[in-house]
Amino acid sequence: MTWRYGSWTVEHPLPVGAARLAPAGRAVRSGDVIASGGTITSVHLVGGARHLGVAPGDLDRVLRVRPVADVRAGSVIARTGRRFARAATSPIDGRLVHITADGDLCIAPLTDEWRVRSAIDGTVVRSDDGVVAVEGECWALSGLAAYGPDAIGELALAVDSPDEQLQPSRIDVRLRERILVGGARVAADAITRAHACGVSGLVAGAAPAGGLRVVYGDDLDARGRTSFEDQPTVLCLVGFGSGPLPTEVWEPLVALAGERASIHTSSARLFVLAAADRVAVSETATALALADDHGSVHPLRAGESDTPNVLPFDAER
Amino acid sequence: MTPAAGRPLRVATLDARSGASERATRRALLAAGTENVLPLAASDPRRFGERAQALRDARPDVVLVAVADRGAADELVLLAEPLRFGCATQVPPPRVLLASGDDGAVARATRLLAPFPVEVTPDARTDEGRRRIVARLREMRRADGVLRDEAVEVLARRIAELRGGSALVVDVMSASTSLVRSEVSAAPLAAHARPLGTGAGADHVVARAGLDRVAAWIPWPVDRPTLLERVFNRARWPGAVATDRDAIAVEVALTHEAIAHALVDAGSAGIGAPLRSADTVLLTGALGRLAQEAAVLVAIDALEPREPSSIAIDDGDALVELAAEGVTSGDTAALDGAIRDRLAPVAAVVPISTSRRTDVRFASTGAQREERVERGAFYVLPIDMPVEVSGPGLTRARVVSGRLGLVVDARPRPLALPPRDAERVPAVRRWYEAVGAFTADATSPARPA
Repeated sequence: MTWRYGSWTVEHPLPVGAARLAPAGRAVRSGDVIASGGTITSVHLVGGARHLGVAPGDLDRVLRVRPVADVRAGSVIARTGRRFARAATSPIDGRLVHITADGDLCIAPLTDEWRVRSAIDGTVVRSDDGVVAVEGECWALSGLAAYGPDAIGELALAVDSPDEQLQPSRIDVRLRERILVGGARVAADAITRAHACGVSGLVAGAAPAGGLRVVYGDDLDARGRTSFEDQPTVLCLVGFGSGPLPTEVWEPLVALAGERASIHTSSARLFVLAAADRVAVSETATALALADDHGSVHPLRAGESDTPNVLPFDAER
Repeated sequence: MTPAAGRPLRVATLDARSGASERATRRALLAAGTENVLPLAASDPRRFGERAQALRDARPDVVLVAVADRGAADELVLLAEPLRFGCATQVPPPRVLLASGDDGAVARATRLLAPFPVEVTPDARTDEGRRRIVARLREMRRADGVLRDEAVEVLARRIAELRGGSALVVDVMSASTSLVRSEVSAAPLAAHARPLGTGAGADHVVARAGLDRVAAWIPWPVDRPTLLERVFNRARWPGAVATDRDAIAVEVALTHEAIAHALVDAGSAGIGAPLRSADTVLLTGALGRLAQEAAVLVAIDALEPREPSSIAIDDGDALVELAAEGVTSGDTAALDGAIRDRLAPVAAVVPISTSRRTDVRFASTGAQREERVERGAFYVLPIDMPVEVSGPGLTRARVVSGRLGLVVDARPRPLALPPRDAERVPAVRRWYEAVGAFTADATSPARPA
């Protein structure tokens, strides 16, 4: 099975320092901000429980500001006593991000802000500092590995056939905020050009591993990488190097062009927010074959034998 | 009975006093066969938020915390708070293994590490502490049946006991590389490096070793980007079989670097040197499935043995499977029988250290032969019987050779490969040809048996 329409729970992992979260139960649309916060590097440690003369477990009782609230330099964070008052004050403009096990207060300066957007339409079912999960119904296509931040945009075809390589010349600024469908291969020059033109993300059968290293760094592995930085987003559907798309994958992509879509990198999935009856998909599992030299992956051809190097498209790998 | 790889277990280590227990914890983790995803020390230059983010990204199943005394426990605050900040919402939360022999340190560290569940083990610097840590971590890894690591260890122990002397089992799998050395009179040494391997761990091998290092072991010029594609596809294709010459060459090169980096890990845990050689070296797993000539060459080049060794290959993992049955039943009679009857060396290696040349004596039943060996020489003598070797620059020993012959290796150590293809390719090719690891057309490595 390649494409599937159904109910999906999409977990959006968050960086540390979340300050605002969409609460569980809220209905969201793809692209809505579901969490935001600040990038945290160093923190200022302010004496808390011991300084105020309370046990760490009782600190909560005397706090005037709670994590994760913004504070100004000199503002009182916690205070005890009346006549001989003792207070913990913020040394900087920043955000109270954490209370230590000893009851001290960590204030982080406010630098960059980050935002995480929902990949699908649905309802928030889990919301905490680590993850916001959204459950909703849509079309989904599971890929092999995705790199970069989540991408949201309109699905658009950038090649004419499933075995064609995405040429950089086919990409321009008119395709900004779209998720482009490449064919068998999307190389580093196309990835960087697409990013420069404001394209949200790229979906293709494969990308050259060396090209991905050029874009994302030499420590890249074959399992994909989620980032929160301003980077291109690439979803490899079948492998690395070159990977012509099976007809069962390509035809629905053509039919769904123009619909809202998203690439969710941590699950390596393409979600398309279209009605269930928008496209008919094959129920049979298409098979993929690894080339003899392991340099590419292709759909199993007629007459090709079933060897250990042949796997169903949806095999666990 | 096929032993299981076990669940992958991601472990982060917090070392409050840099260097104090680092070697001991590394040794325990290597023996336990876990994946060490983030070693974090108090001296780490990253700031609070960056440490917390690194811990969140690492998603550890277990955090191993070694604190020697109360002072170290106080310093743990610099690492415990990023852990609390980064992983407090992780589902399921990471379990903390607190290795300490100091009650005060345990009390202080437990308070700092709340709300994570904490289990206390003895100090990792003691044998008992390491044994308990390894047992606990293996318990967490165990899904069902016998772990392959345990089977390999039993196999090494039984070979050492039955053959006398020392035994080294080198087991390379899809996502693990094990080196286990056992001696009759000494405690076994084990390094199970994860996720280094030739399948799912192939991309990790390249990340560790670098693409050039992997490419260096292929006896013809290689296009690096294409090589990387082969490695990435291999890493995401469970059970892939290499039939093409390029794919086989990549598998041979990956096997080489997986062993080399398992030895680097063992070296950082203080057990690297003994894992390089033994009287009997047994090659198993994916290494044992390579063509025998290639497997022997990989073992010699990657281990760089210091002493003469007999090299055997576990055909079809039969011995490992019998060892797994032995672990389950507690009866190793079948394994012992197989070691006595079937464990026949296919080759022997005689490493020679010399600055110019040396004379080596080979004595077998009724015959004696003397060879003048030049520095850098690497060739095979057609000897397939027990032989005693002696001479200046090598350890006097009795080795058993086999079908492939006795490999005389006087190459300087560590083995250095020329960086340029024009010099590297002929050198590597010469070594392949010396052991017969090329097929008749001399363009591709021998296919697996």
